[in-house]
Amino acid sequence: MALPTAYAAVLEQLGCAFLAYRDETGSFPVLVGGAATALGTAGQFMSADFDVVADDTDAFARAMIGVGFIKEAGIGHLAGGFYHPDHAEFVVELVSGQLFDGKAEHDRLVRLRIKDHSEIIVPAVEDLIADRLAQHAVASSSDTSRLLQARALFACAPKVDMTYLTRRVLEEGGDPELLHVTR
Amino acid sequence: MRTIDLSSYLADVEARAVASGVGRVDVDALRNKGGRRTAAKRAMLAAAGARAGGGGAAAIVSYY
Repeated sequence: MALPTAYAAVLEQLGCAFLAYRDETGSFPVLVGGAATALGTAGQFMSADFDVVADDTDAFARAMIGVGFIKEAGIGHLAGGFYHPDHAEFVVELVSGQLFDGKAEHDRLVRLRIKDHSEIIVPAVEDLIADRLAQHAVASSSDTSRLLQARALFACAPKVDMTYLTRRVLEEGGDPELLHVTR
Repeated sequence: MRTIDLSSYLADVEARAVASGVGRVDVDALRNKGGRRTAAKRAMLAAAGARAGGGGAAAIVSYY
């Protein structure tokens, strides 16, 4: 299942902003959450939101606006949100805090090159799985979506460091036994 | 940090999705049902949905 055209277009523009942010700050934003999971499952499901972690809020806003995104109007709940006028059905949210509370190993991040001027950084699949299982642990019992996402990521990953995965799942408060599959 | 071309990354992942059966999982079952979304996220998804409706774009299903 290929990424929908509009989704891929927003991703490419977001990748331009990632590079602009890198050029200004020397560090990278990281795409997390459902959007990173969508990439890790080759688009088995899509969400309309792209969650990003970046240390410098102001620099991220400049990078986004510089490549054509629009800051959400208003304050309060819409603060931290951006959308692209050509694909306004999607929203990019700068989420607060460090990447996985500083527990993820940064040398495991993955750089996905979209074009020469566009690239996205995503967490290691082990960190994404741990995040999904942690969210499953606190979700309603009727909502197993994050468990299914974790299992899908696990099944689709080219390789998984089981030692690191187990450690990260436990750190995030999830249950590694829920993957109950062998590789 | 490893660097991979997105297109080859997606092709590899998709091949594994097909081989593992993930590609047959019901898409809606994978979607966050929104029970624990923050107020900010709910507001942003609502705004995005409203823009999609106004612009005639096909909105991606989101629960919030």
